[in-house]
Amino acid sequence: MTGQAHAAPREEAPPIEAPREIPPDWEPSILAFACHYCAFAAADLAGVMRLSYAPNVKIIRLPCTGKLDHSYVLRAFERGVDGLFVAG
Amino acid sequence: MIVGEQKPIEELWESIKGHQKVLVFGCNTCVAVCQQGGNKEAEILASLLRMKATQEGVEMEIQDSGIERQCEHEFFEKAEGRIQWADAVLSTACGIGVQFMAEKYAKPVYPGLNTTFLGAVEKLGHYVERCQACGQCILAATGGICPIARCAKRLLNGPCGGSTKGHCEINKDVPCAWQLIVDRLQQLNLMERYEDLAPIKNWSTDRAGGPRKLVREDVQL
Amino acid sequence: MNTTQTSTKRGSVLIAGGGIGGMQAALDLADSGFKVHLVTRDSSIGGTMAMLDKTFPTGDCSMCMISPKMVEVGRHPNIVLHTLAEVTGVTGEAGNFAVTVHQKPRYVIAERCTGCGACEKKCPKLVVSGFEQGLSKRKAIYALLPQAVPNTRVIDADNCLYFQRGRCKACQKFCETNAIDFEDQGRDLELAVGAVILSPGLARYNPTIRPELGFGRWPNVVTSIQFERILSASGPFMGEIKRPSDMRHPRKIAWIQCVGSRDPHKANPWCSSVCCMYATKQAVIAREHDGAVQPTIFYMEMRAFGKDFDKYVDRARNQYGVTYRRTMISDVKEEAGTGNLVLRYAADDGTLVNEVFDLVVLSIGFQPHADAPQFAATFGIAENLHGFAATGHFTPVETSRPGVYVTGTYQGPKDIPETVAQGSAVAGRSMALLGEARGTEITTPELPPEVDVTGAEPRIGVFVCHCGINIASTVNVKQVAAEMGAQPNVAVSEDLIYACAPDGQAKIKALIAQHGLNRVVVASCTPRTHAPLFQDTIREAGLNKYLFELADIREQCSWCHMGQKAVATAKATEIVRMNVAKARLLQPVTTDSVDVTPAAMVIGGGVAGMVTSLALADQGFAVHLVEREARLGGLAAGVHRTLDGSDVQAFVRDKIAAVGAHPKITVHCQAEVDSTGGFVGNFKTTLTDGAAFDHGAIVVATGGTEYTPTEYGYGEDPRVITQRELEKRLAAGLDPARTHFLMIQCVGSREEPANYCSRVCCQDAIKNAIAIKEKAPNAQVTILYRDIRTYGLREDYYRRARELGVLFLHFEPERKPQVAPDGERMRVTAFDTVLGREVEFFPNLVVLSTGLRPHPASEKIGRQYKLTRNADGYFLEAHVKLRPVDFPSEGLYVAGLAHAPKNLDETVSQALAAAGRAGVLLSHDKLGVSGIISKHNRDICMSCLACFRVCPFGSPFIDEDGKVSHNEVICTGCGICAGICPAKAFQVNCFRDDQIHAMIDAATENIA
Repeated sequence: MTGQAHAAPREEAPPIEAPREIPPDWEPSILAFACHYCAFAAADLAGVMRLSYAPNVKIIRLPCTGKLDHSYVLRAFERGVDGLFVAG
Repeated sequence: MIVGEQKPIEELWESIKGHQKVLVFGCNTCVAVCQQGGNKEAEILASLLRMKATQEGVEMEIQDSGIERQCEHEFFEKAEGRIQWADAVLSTACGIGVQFMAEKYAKPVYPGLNTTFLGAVEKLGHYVERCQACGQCILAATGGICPIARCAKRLLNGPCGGSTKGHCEINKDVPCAWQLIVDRLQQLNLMERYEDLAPIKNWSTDRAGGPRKLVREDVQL
Repeated sequence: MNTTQTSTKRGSVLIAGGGIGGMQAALDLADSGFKVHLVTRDSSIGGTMAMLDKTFPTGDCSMCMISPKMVEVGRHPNIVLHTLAEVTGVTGEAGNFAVTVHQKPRYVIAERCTGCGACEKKCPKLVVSGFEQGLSKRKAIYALLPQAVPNTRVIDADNCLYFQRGRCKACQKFCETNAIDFEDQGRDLELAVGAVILSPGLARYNPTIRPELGFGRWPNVVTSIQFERILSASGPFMGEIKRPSDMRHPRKIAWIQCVGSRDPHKANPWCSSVCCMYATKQAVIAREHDGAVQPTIFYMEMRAFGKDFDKYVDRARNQYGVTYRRTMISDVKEEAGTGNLVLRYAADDGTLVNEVFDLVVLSIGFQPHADAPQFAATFGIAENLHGFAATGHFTPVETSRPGVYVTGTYQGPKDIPETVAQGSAVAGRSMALLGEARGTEITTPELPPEVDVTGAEPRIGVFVCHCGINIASTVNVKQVAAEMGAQPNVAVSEDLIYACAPDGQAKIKALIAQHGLNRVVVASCTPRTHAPLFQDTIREAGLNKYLFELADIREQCSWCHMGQKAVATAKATEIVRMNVAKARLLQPVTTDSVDVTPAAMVIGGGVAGMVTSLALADQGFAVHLVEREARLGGLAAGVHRTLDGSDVQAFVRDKIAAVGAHPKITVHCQAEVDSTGGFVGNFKTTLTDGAAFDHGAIVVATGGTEYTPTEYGYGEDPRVITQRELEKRLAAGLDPARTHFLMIQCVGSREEPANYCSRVCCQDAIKNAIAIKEKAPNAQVTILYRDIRTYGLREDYYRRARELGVLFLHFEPERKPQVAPDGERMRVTAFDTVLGREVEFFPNLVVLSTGLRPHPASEKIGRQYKLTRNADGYFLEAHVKLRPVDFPSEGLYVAGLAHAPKNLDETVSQALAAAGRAGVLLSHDKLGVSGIISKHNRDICMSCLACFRVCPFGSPFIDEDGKVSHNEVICTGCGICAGICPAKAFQVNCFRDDQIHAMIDAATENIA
């Protein structure tokens, strides 16, 4: 972030964790943060169009995805959510 | 403004991993403005560390708190309870706050940031160094541009031979401070000042003279 | 209730007809300070739309859209409903009419009736239900539909045992509020109003007139409106697709198009405009209800001429497996013993085929009500040839009598959005006529004081809606309600059949009072459409309207997890629990209001822009008309005649003159918008020519352009021209004698990259063809087409062209005509699908019917005002059905070709509608600011400027003290500031961090 002087030490990104084995009957728990005006409307449209999808996703409506706060993401993960979908 | 940069999570983990109760402690002034060490950042860091602990299978409690400034005694009072609760503190203040806090409490206080420099907010998310706190300001002679902070060699009487097309030889993205100074003096019609020879700088006011101290007799109690 | 001293005009309007068009007009007028008398023959408002299951092309639930509007009309303080009533006479003139109304007896005293329905339950007499199209029965005391407004039952005296045989009175016996009045005589009313709006809608064709189709004889031949009821969740079969004879689930279903339409012999000569699309919709929805259904639509021409309609038909064909067969059905016979139906038709190769179907749906068309001549006489208006209200091409909502306007299908067959747009258009016309009397006859609503909830322990009421069976067939609603009852702070938790219906609303209000509730959660459909309704409801019960949360368990649960009752119920429970968790932390929000600048900016000086400007200026608002070119007129400047022969040039000249002469209109030619700041009611715009002005509304009428073809050798051979060029030559005196004109339709339309119907080209071709043949009968005109889309009353001209000897030949897009020079003439080869072989023509001129494109400027305008455009580049309205001229951003409206291709009369209607909608906004002195805004806590703010830098609306600012402050008026509540603020000094009302955290915690409560 600091531009020239500190560009060097961060060149190598920390190694990404190796993906773990997913048990066959594992059901992820997904939380979505959706903008009231677009993605939430899209989720409504999915319903109106009777598009079927897995029920393990719950949507939290935000006035805009700009409203997303770090704390929402971290709190959700800390509390055991497996995936977050931010759409707006 | 003091600018800091958060340390990598692995390094922070190494500091705190042996403790049972850790407080991540924010400082809501300089380092909050650069979005690195304020109370909100402390909250985020605490959350990340809790997840790290879970991943590592380590049982420990990590909480967050913060105060307005960690470089003044009185502010700490509000957070006294949390601080007492903790075995160790991870302070996201600048190096001043970390030391100040460490002096106050008989428990480890670890730095959460690398304090990087004294800088300005050029635009959101862009912080640039402008001052090295040398203790003897020469900006009047240099058109308001500091060669101590901005010239790699801290030259006081014009550029070195490495100045190429207005840029510094150490990094072509870094403007040559002396090029900036000359441009600026020209713009201000003060080029005659460029002819004034700067005497040898007295570095004793810089930290070469040891830790510095300032006392205002008139305001002290 | 007196008019002001300075005006002799009345501040009230009578609307005859309670369908969606009349309702829209009523709401627009009532919202802008006029008193409205809404007169309808039925016992409830709602009209045809209330009978429909879903609507095309979005598949939105019709009842879910219209029900909140019905409730809004029913509860609006400025609207008086006169149901079971008819206008008997109109005297006086524009501005001051005296209208006599006869109201039939209801036999139920509305003031006493609670709508509980006990009377209906006890009534012993069963009557065939007209609303359910004879598919089920109702009682002699009944409500027209479950969501009826007013929610007062009515006695059908013709079938009531007491009226017919002098005994029974069971209803009276069981009515706890003594609301039954057998002595009700009805009454005559005298109403003084300034304007009259006609929105009586249309009747439907009676298919027994065509006995070969078997309706009335074979039980499994149903009409399209019967099929709507079959599909409807609140219909006779609860949304299960069954056929009348044996209640079996039909697999093969056939739709027969044009029953009662486009047939001058046994039916009506016009096209009913909507049947192609509703049949497609019914086929799609039928497939959704029951995956085993195999739909086939037998049609003559697929008239998918509206915005995104062709794409919908493509989807029906490709994704839903709907079979489309272009052939006429000669007859329908029942197969002995099975109840199945045998359809006889000519296959593509000309052989006659018999195909068996389980159910046949007749797509019946519209026609004026049987008493239309009398209706027209009562109002003193002229009818057209076919018994519709006569209107002019450029004055589509004006009848022959000044001050009497017409909206909806009575003006000509049309779909819901066009009806709604005309509803706003007639409202706008009435506002222009009566502007000075605005506000003279209305009263302001009195709301109970808000209960102070500060410091009070939350007492939450949870209401879980069945939505008929929309939710209840997938989610165990009662179980959800029971589980919520056990949640902390939940004082009461109940289930409701339709939470949005008047009885549902009444129940919510009653329980708020009874249990001292201070927070309310409704679990039903999407907050995007229904939250305002419930917020008003709780406000009427004395609660601040922000003490409300809506849990979406329909769109986001029952509808996407059909057939998974257990998991859907579990998910619904979690969704409601999340909203209850948030509701615990809700706080009342007080809202500010701001002044409104009574002026509008209209972008685009074509017909749409000019008509909008004049209509707004006539209402008394200042208008800034901005046109990038040097002169006004737009695309219409190149058009000479309309299909009906009206003089477009004269019309455009008149409008340009009127705009120039109007004292309220400032024209800015050769100028574009440089920047617009501000917000609804308070915009500030600077133009590229330096002009700057304040205005309260923006109408985007940026128009379209004509496609310049690259096909068929255009530009290479001078004998290949466009319709517009032909029109110009004809107007300039071209002698068509002994010339062969060959026209090719759909050039640059209905194919990628412009896969939509341009709507005007069929009319253009037929208009020019008729002009040629009338001038020179020995001229030859051939039209190669994919579908001739002369919808509505335009069908007359298609017939006229055929009568004049214009040759029509159908082609498929896969086998397009080939055009090549051939000596003095051109050679065109086309594949004749009827003959099954190539045919050759040698025309003198090849005329290309080129489509329309959105104006290139619309991209920039879209970016400037953050307006979304569809895949084809046309602006997207706020709601395809019910908000056809509004943008989602407040204070912005759309009209004309910028919205979608359309004909000139439709552009005029839409422009008047935009003026009507903008007029509603501009008529207010003050405008309430949204409660959903970001609140700034200056005490903890450290003025780091992060918010100031990221806010797209510029609402945080550096104040006089040099610190950050916040202008809430400009704030849209997006919360970007709250996301970036390192001090957490911003919190968005109703989306505060603690509230979202509570939702996250509730959502993750059950994760191991």
